[in-house]
Amino acid sequence: MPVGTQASVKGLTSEQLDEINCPIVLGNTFHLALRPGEETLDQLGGIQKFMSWPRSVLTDSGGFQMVSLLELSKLTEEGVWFQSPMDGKDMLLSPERSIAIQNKIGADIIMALDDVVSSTTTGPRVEEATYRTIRWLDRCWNAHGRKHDQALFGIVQGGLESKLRDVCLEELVKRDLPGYAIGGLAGGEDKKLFWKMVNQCTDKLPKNKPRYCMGVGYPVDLIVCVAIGVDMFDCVYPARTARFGTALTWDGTIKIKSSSMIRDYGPLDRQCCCKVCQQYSRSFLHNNFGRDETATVHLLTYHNIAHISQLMKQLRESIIEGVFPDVVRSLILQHFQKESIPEWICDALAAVQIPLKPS
Amino acid sequence: MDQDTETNARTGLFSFYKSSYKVECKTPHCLLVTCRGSLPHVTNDLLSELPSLCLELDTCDFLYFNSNSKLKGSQVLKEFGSGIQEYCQLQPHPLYLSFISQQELEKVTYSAKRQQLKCYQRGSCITFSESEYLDLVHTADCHMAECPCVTSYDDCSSDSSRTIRDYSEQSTVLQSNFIKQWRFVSSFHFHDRNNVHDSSHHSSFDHSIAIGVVQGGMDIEQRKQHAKTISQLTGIGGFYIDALQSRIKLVEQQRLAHISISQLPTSSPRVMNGSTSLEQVIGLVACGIDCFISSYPYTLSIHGYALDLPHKNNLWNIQYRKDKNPLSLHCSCPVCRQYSRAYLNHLLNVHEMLAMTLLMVHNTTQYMEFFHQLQRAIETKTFLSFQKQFLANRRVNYS
Ligand SMILES: [Zn+2]
Ligand SMILES: [Zn+2]
Repeated sequence: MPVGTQASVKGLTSEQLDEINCPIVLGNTFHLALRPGEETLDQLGGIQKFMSWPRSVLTDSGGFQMVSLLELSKLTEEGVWFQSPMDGKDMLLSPERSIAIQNKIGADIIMALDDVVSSTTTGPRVEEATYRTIRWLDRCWNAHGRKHDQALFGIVQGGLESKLRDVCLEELVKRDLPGYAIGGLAGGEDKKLFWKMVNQCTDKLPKNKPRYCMGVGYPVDLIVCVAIGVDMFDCVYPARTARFGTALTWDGTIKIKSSSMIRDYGPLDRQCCCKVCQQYSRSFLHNNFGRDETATVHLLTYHNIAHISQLMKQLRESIIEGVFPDVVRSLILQHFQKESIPEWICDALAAVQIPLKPS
Repeated sequence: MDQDTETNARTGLFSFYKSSYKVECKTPHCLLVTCRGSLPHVTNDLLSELPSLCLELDTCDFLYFNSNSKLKGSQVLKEFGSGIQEYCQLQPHPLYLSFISQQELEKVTYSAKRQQLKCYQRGSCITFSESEYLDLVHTADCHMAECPCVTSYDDCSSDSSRTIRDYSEQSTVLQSNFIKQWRFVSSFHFHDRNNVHDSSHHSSFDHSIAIGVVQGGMDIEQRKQHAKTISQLTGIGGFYIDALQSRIKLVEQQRLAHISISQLPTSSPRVMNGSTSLEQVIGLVACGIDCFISSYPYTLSIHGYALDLPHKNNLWNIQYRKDKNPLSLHCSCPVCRQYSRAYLNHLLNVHEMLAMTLLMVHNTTQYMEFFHQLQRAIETKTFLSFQKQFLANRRVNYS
């Protein structure tokens, strides 16, 4: 899922996203509620119609932005109190309020409000957050007014504590939700702990429900997480990195501003079948990239999202064809041609019977 | 060519042949300003519904490809193996290489002793020789290219007739030398092509048009004289009338256009800058100008305006917050087919890049439609009433 925070994916038109085969886009409830406002979106026929997007949309709960963007937010059992960035008034984002807003925005998948703690937090705060997340989930479910056409996903919390993860998993699975998200990770924790937590979650989550790992990430992270059983991801990375002139390729990343690009007349990636790689040379993109002009940023964003889209397609197809382990192995080896493969990747893949080194 | 009976407005057809395909553009037409090889904020795939769009390229964007001024654009294009149209992926749009009509150009000087041209643009200066420019023109292989010349936009009002005469004369020499060289290269390739009989052989300059530059400041006699001199140079296929861009009043621009045109052959296209307004373009079309180098759609877009001919609406305005209508009810562009004014208002409010992209596509489409309206009015001999009606409608909008 490319991230379309404010109902647009960084300069791409909905037609271009459609061309890249993006099935779903993520919108941020916090931002959308501020502008244009959920009432406006409701009156205009919902977010898909508003952004002229024929496929699916997922909205987050707004909790994450609240805690990460607003220093003055205050957490109570009722919800998160914050000062409106628009008029400074005290406002409450409760589970009920988050769901009411998401009902109005009208995405296909909506997220329960969770009590977010940073993945590096330890101690009693993590336990409190885990249990509150479960209590809030029930309030979200009860407040959900569009169960027939909006799938509500619960979020597994529990920090890096395996016992708490288990408690949360057990409670969430009991509730038989339409889908599950793995939250509270990808916040700078040790990757060794990260993959173990994800693995623990995917082991216990029901096989017939989608699993969404929040805030992940880089192409290699996606490959590893797919291997340990995750189905969905949200990625700000491809679009964000494009703005700084970085292109993703099957051999790693390249910097379009680098002077080595000036006389490179090849495409961004020879293996890529996106429209940008069929047409433009690195040399042109280098020369066009610059301050006042965003056409090349759009081209890089287009290519980067297409790259991730092709990566996921390749993984899907390899599962159907029964060659998934081989494909994962060759993708990882290609990505790490110039550097050694991090240990956590070897460990994670070994845990799902994809040994990288011949034994 | 069709000439209006009440004014000097005229409509004609440009046919560009380039390596086995042909693009036709009716005049009056616009040459839209680009930034380093793309329409600002717009990728070429979004222009697919505007096949007859013509684009302007700035010489300074392509003379050198890196900051230390060692790598020439012409060398990159040679290595790339094809012209600038393919390099920038701007097919099928006809391209016009600007020299004196470049964006935000401050002045151009020439030192005969060093045989060096200096372009001062956006606070920086690029130094190059005549043959380097010729090389770029040669390798870029645009459909139209301006002859090199000198000028000063610094303080045009205070230019003495002596100064004007000096730079006009220098410009004449530069243009005359350039066109001789161009014709030499051109005839060489033509000959080459005839011998080879290979239709896939890509020959440069086979149908490129050299655009002469008519100067002369605000001085009537000098302007007449310069127009006459430039029109007598052999090999010039069109004329850019350098009327100090938007720094003088519209009536003054029209007067300069009249004087210059009186000395120019009727069969050649005449180009001017038309970035200021739609009124400016109509007024100059009435004088007999055919093509307009213009950044008007860009200027509108960066200020949040969407054309809704003959008017323009500022989508920042709160009245569009919940407006489900397309940007214009009479526009068939991809943006109007899909998006609402409310969506554009939102994108502007949250500073999303997509706002500029969508506004550019829409405004470019509407701008092209404006030129179609001009063409139709001239063809149907209703230009004068069209002009009056258009200006009256615009005034209503502002009152
Ligand atoms: Zn690509
Ligand atoms: Zn339109």
